[in-house]
Amino acid sequence: MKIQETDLPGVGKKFELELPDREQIIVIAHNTGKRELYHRTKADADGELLLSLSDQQARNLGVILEGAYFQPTSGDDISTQLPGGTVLEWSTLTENSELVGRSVPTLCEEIDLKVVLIRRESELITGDPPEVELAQGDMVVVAGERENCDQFDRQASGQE
Amino acid sequence: MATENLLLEVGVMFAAIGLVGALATRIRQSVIPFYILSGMLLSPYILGRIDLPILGTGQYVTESDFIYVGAELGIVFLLFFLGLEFNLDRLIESKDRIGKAGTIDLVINFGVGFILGFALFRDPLPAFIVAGIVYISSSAIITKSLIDRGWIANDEAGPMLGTLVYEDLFIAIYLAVLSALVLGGNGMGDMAMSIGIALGFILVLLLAVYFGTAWFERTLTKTSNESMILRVIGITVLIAGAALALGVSEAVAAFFVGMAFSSTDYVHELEHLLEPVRDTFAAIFFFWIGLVTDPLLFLGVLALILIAAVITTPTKLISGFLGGRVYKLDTRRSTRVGLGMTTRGEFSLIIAAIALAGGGLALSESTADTIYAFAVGYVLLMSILGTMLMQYSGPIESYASRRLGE
Repeated sequence: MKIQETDLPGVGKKFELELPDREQIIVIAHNTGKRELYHRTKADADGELLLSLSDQQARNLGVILEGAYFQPTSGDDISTQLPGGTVLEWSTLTENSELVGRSVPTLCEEIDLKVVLIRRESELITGDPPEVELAQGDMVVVAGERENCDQFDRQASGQE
Repeated sequence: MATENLLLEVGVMFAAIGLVGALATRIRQSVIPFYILSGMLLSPYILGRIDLPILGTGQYVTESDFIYVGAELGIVFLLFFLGLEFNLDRLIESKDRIGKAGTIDLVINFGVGFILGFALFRDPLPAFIVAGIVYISSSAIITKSLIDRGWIANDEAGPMLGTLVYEDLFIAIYLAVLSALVLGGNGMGDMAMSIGIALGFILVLLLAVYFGTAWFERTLTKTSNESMILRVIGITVLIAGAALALGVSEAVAAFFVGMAFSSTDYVHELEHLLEPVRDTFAAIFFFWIGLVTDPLLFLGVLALILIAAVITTPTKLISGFLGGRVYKLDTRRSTRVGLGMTTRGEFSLIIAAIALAGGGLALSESTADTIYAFAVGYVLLMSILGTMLMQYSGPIESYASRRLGE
């Protein structure tokens, strides 16, 4: 796609993007940061103003158009979302957590999730062994639906 | 009014500016003529003569030191911004087209202006001043109109903005020479020395700009917004003030200081931080222009203004049209260029202010007053006329296309 850049002294820069069917999109990038988007149906027509955006709005729009839109998750919960909606969550069991003393299979019955990994001191326990009892200070990595992981997180930190 | 009312007067000024500015935007006109008119209304010549309820007569906004210096700062910041947004490299890139279109504009309009001025005043210095006043189009109004009309995205913006850049450069030199001529006293020897000092000062500035970019850059590195804005204002106003004290145009000095900063990395931030400062003081400048204008003088120069308008509108139409052709535009767009370029504004007023200051020096008082009144009336007319020509360009474009073909 042909992009032509022209300097507009005292105003900014003009970018003309040629689309199929001789349509054109024109972007005026003002020195002040403002961006304006114009549309032209053919080469000799007048440009028609579509959008007038502030610097921040233009950047946001640009990122979406670029396909790289990333919505930051809220700060507190540490979780990662796998494609398909499965969430990975990990929490450290506190002293007053009701999960202390619970065995893994019991936990998985109560809350519908899978225990992926337990870190105890510097040891990593995997494989879902049934005789493992959760202790204070264990960091447990679980996978499941978001609401279940959230519930696990609350119970692990003693909030429930 | 007494000194304890000065704050109130300044408040009245700003309130008036805000009010008429809103009105102008409402009816989609440029704010500049309205600022001038508000100054005229609140001057001793109009408001001062009206018998107000309770307050009586003789109430008006005085030309206090604050307003006078505020107006000078308006000139300084207007030209500073011009220099800031000026890009020598980009100019050199398009130098062929800008050179051709700009020279056509210069020869036609400055030439006709000089002839007109000489015919009216029979003296080369007033002719030189009139030439400048009618030659230069208003970068501020035209650029804003281009953006408002959406023409900024079309091809006609190219020749218009390019020609304005050429005009800016020419006017920088012109202002330097004019200040020297007008303020430098009488006699060839005095004038020659003044021009020599002026050009010497500008040369020093140019060298500082060219070699001192690193220093300018350093003054802005790692500063807070507050620090940045104060430093830039300090440097700019100091240099401009020094220039004026030496009899050199403060406008040109400010232009070069702006150019010095334009090669730093902080151009965007400076534009962002200083735009409100510029707008505030520029508004004071336009208000002041109206404030010191006696509208009765208009009656005396009304014929001059109309003659000038009748002659210098077609000259801009033609030079603008030819400029469009230089950029290889069709009839319709070349016509738009011509229509837009007819707008005159801030620069003509700056020239007028210099002329006024020269009264009693190189110019007789009456000549200076006449030129000044002419310039103000001319700008009021041409700023509104030019804006309207751009707004209602459609029928004119069609007419031109029919008569001249593509």
